[in-house]
Order: sequence, then structure tokens, then C-alpha cells
Amino acid sequence: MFSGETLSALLKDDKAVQKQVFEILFSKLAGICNRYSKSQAQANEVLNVAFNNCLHKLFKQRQTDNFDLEKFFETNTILECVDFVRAVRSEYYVSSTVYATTSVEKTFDLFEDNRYIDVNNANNEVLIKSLQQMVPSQRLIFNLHVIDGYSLSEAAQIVDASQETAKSNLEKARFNLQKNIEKNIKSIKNEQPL
Amino acid sequence: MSSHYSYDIDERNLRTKLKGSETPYAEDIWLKFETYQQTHQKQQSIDDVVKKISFTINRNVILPIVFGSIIIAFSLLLFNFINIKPQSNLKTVIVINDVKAQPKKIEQKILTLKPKIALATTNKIETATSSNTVAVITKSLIATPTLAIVTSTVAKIIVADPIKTNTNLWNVVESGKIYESPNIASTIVGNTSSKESYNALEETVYFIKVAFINNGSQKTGYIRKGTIAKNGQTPSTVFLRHTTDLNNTASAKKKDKKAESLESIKAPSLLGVSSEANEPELK
Repeated sequence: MFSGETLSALLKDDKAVQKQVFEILFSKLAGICNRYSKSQAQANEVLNVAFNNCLHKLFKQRQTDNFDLEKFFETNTILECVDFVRAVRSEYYVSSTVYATTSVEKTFDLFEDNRYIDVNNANNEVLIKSLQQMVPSQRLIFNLHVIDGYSLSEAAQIVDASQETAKSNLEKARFNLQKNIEKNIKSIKNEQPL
Repeated sequence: MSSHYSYDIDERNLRTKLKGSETPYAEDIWLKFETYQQTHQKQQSIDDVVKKISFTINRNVILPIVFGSIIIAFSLLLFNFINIKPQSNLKTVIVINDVKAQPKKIEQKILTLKPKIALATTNKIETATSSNTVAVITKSLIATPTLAIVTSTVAKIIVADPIKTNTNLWNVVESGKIYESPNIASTIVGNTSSKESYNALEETVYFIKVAFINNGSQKTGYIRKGTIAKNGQTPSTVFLRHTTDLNNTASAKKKDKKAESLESIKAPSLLGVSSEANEPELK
């Protein structure tokens, strides 16, 4: 996607090229930051930090012939998001007492709308909102393993936790995500139209 | 997982949906990034320099260095308190304190002499007269310099408070002689000249013992107090009168003192009586 000239211009700290790259990669990087953050404001802050650090890392990176600038930015943005979320220690080290044992309540009232909530048909806004409502440790593991495709051991290594901890967090994340999606879908449906 | 809970989320679908989500770009986002970049540029350079500093030293090297430095520091601390020098090399210095004058005692001694010696001695032998024969003879026989020179008016020797002045330093007022012993009849071992200063090693009633250099060799001797004065003081007037103005004092005393008149017995021829019964008796 990016040529060698773009890369050399970035290494020369060309502001115009930096802006060009930023515009091209913004949508993907912003989506990553939205998934890993707890809110939109935090996502914007994380994006600035991540892009700035990626540019600095680019100077130290050994460039090969098949150097993929886009993948480089994506990977490092994910790592920067993980570091940023873990750095907020007051939020990250919150113990979760969620246990995936509660049953799904189903009403059989004929006069109420009891459509089965199809979590797979939820739009992106609901999904991102549901992800942001999760506990940070669970959110990170879910994003790394489920969305970004890292193995459980790799994800555990990135968040600096044991594999058992990562597995436990993943189970809790799946349960919480489903609960959050259902809750958010319900809340959207119950909202009064303007 | 519990049987009551069923996980209905299709994760593949979820992945494609979330990865495919796009956020619209706005110009103000780039402006915010630029301001952030400018504020954090300096901090980033410092952090990069700090991160570059990396010590790749093995643990087996660091631990001995750390413990060794701790041991050395403690040993240096202990050396400050412990003296390892051998005793034989130590030199003992004996300090001889100068004998200080005791002015009070001197005063007392002089005051006690007052009633015994009434007149000052003179070198001249006076002509004998009927009234003064006994007195003159006794003076010429008995008089010595050591017992002389006490009058009622100048009996007190003014001695300065040793605490206030440099007690051991004496200044030569007029040139004089240095004697071997505190006696003017002793051998003269040196001479003093005016405006010289000596530190008194000992002090007697009329002399001070000083150390001086004569012909390259250090000697000790005695200087009469009349020719010298303590630092910050004038020489005692008693001594001055004794050494320089002896004639004046003698003549002054002569003038002050009236001759003793004794009763004279008339000669037998004048009486006209030659009987043995009326022989005059010598008193």
C-alpha cells in the first residue's frame, strides 16, 4: 500500500507525508482504539499516543524489502492500546466477580415483544458500546484473542498474565459481552423515538 | 461453562464486523495530533536517550561489586575510629610552664620588712658625729642590697594583674647587666640594652631570670628589676630610686631627719668639784 518513498519520507520526519499516512490509516487505527478503550474520548487520546509512538519506533525499526507499513502501524497500535489501558491501574486492577452461571430470562407473555434477541445482528455501534462497557482486563483478552487473532498464550504474554488467567478472563468476557449486547439492544429498542 | 448459559455470539461474524468498521476522518483530528506531537516531542527525546542507556552486565559481576563496595565503605567508616599507629613512634613532649609571679606574696613580704629597716643604705660612709654614730655604724656594717630599699612611702610594689597583661614579657628600660645568680656580687654574664625584651623564666623579689644568647650560645641569667619593666607597666619607683638616685635619697632623708640630741655631762673642771663621790656615771 505504501511505497518505499513514503517510508523514506517518514524516516526524514516529513510532516506532509505523516499527515498523508495518518489520513489513510485513520479509520483502521481509530477502530482499533475504539475497541480497546472504554470511551470515545479515551480512544482519541490513545490514537494520538499510538501514532506518535509508532513514528518513533519506525526510526529504530530495521527495514527489510517486504516491510509492510500498514501492518507495522496496526500491530504497534494494538500494543500501544494494551499498554495504555494497563497503565490506568485504578481501572485495570478491578476484580471481577462475574460468573457465567445465570440463566437467560425468557418471557412467554403474549402481549409483550419477546423477539429473540439476535446478538449477531447487532450493529457496530452496539457492539463497540458493549465492548467498551466490559472490564479492561476482559476487554483486552477478548480483543486480542477473538478479534485480532492472537493465540491465548500470545495474548497472555502481551497483557503480562498467566495462561489460566487469560482463559478465565476470556470466558468472563464472552459472557459479559453477550449480556451487554442484549442489554444495549433492549435499551435501543425501548428508547422513545424523537 | 454452565449448562444454563449458552453463548450465542458468532465470533467470526463479530470479527469481520468490527474489523471492517470505519470511522470518518476529520481535519481537527490531525490538528489535535499535531499539538500533541509538539508537546511530547521533547519528552520523547529524553525518554529515548534514557532508554538507550542499558547496562548489559551479568548478575555474577554486579553482586560481587555491590557487596564489595558495601564492605569497603564500612571498613573505611571503622578506620576513622580505630587508630592503628604503633605507640613507639609517638613522641611525648614535656611542656615546662614558666614560673609566674605571685604579686600578693611579694607584697606581703615587703610590708613585713617595713618596721625592721628604717633607713635606706648608702655606699658612702658618713662622718661620725655624736648624735649619729651608732646609726651610721650599724648601717655600714649590716646594709646589703638584698635587704635594702623600703620606705614608708614607696614600700608597695605595684604589680600588674597577670591576667590582664603579658605577664612574662619584660622590657628593658635602661641598659644594665645580667648576673649569673640573683646577687649583684655574682659574676656578670651579659649586658642588656634599652628597648630589648625578655621573657621571664623565674622571678624573685628583685631579679628576674631570663634566657639570652651570648656569642651564639644560649645562657640564662638574672636581671635586676630596676632596669626593666613588665609589659605595659612602668618600672617600680622603689628600684629606680635605689639604682640611680641614691645620693638624693640619702640627702633627702638627711634633711628630713633631725639629729638626735643627747644630754651632755659637764666636765669635772667646769664643775669645780673633784670628789670621788660625785664621779659622773656613764649612761
